[in-house]
Amino acid sequence: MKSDRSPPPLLKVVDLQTHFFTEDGVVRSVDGVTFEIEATKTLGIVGESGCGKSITALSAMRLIQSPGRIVGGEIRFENRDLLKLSEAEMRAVRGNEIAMIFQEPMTSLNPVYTVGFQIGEAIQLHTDLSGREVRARVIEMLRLVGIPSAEQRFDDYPHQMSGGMRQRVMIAMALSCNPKVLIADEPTTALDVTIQAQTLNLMRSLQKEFHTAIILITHDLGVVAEVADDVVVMYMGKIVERASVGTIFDAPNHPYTVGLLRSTPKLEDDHNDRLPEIRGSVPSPFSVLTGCRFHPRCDRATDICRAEEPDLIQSDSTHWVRCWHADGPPLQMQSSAPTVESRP
Amino acid sequence: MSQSADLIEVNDLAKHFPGRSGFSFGASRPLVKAVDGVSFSIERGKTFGLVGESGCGKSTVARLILRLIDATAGTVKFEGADLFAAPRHKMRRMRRNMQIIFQDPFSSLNPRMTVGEIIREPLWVHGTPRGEEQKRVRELLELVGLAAEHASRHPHEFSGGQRQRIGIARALALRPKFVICDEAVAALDVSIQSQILNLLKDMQREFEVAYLFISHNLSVVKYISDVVGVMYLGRLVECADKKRIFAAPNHPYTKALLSAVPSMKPGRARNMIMLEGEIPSPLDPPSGCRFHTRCPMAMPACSKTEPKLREVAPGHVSACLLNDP
Repeated sequence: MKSDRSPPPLLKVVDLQTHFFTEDGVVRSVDGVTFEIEATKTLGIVGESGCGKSITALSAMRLIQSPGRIVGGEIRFENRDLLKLSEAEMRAVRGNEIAMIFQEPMTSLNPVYTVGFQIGEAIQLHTDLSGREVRARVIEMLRLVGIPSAEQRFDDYPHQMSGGMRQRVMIAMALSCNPKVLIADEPTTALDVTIQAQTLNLMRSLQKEFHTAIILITHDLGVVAEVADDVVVMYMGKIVERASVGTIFDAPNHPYTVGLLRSTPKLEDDHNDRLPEIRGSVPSPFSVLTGCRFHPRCDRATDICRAEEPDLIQSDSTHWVRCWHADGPPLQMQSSAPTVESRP
Repeated sequence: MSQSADLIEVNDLAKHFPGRSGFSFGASRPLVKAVDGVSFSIERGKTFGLVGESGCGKSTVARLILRLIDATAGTVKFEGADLFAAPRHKMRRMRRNMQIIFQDPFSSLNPRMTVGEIIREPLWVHGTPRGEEQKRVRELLELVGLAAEHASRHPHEFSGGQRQRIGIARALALRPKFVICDEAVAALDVSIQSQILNLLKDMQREFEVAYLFISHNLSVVKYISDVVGVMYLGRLVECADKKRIFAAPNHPYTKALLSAVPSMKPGRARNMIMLEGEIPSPLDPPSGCRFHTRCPMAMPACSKTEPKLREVAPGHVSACLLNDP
């Protein structure tokens, strides 16, 4: 699944740094993140709570609120640096060219307006369609995202819909202005698995139709395997590994990526031995760590890991790893020594 | 199988909540049949996994078994004794053998109590001799991978995974024979989830505790369970040995559920059974088989006849008209 990098990327994030200046100290939520994405492609950003994946997304939309601030980097979108735009210029981009959907559709929809009105609002803001045309466009969008009897549903309030329907409304709203980039932050996490499958399918077919680039933020490796073309793995504000989806799952090289993959129970697995663990937990965001941020939890860690921070090194055309021992022997994808696969 | 193998026997359990009457003044209020005729049993020291989507009634089953809410019908037997017939004082004594671990480690621990007090409370309620308490708290903390000095701290000083360990220590304080884990790992990050799943398994090995493991995550249920039951709209639609149900699911709903789980193998072609539509409201469940509105295999008879659980293989039951001779 090697993508040839000839077309210029649609969105390029370069060395993004978003810090939070709290009373207890500075939290470097996003600390030098670089990635790019092309049209019709899906980039998955994975990592656990607090790794900075959502802050990365909000930064790309310039939606960071005090005490947070984007302190460095570039967000290049079609040859403009979004960080240099005025707030008015940014408003024309937000929702229009780059749109976002969130995890909990109930909290991102306004409960006192009908869903039709809310979808129409975005269209009205970014186009000069008449009221009647807006309504027609909204109904078309509702149909497109598979909401039955769209004309009647136009006048529904969010509470009259189920979680899956509300997420469809969010998708309709996000895609109503035909954005070039869609940022989806845990879009299916609150949904049941059969509804998740429907929603992912819908996103995929709409992506094909509109050539949307999707940045999918999730903690669910299964969802990433399912829909992403490229994957970025984040840990404590930094990218630790970046590769095509095939490489991430078949030949991961960062101990954190390997640990995540190994410790996730899989439907394909038939054993019930102890799960391989990543020991300990993510350190406090205020803690001052020297060296590699993962070293306290890493089995590979040596003196250099404790002393110096490794760079994100490109190991082949589509694979970057931030590890001093990336050249070492390949990491075992199967359980480590004491556990044995007992059953076939 | 010996007579005493089953620790918990759930028989025809039902819970009907009165629904909102809306504008139909005078008319009888509709019933939400949250749980409707569910039967299963759990062996000593084994794990029964209960799966299903939101609103299928799996958490209500947990609350009914512990008598946190009263059942409309049915019985639950614990070591042969009928829980619903037990008088209060007797129920209280039996409760020490039945504990629950909740999903949200942030809301299930009292923020004003120290961790030591939280774990000591069940010991105190059930009359552990003074002096011994302190020692037990220390032991329990170490058992779940925390340190004895954590006893004097408050819950907010701990991470989500550590809080879940505290919840487990509290649940195990009285050496119960039966623990319900209601989405116990759903709120945890992957790396912490595996630690807690391992801990639950270690505790089971050590104390021979039986789990009712309620989860919407099929991969986790597959990992931890011995027997698995699948619920849909208040009914148990299929139940079998873990290996059997994942290898050869019988009910169309189980099949669809399994096929909807994203695979960790990218690019692999999958035969996904895409279910149409949404889960119907339990206020107005479909007639006949409750799954017929979404079922890819539905026949005309499915909307009329309610299928019964039938044995399709030894120890494997499924409620689908396709199995009828």
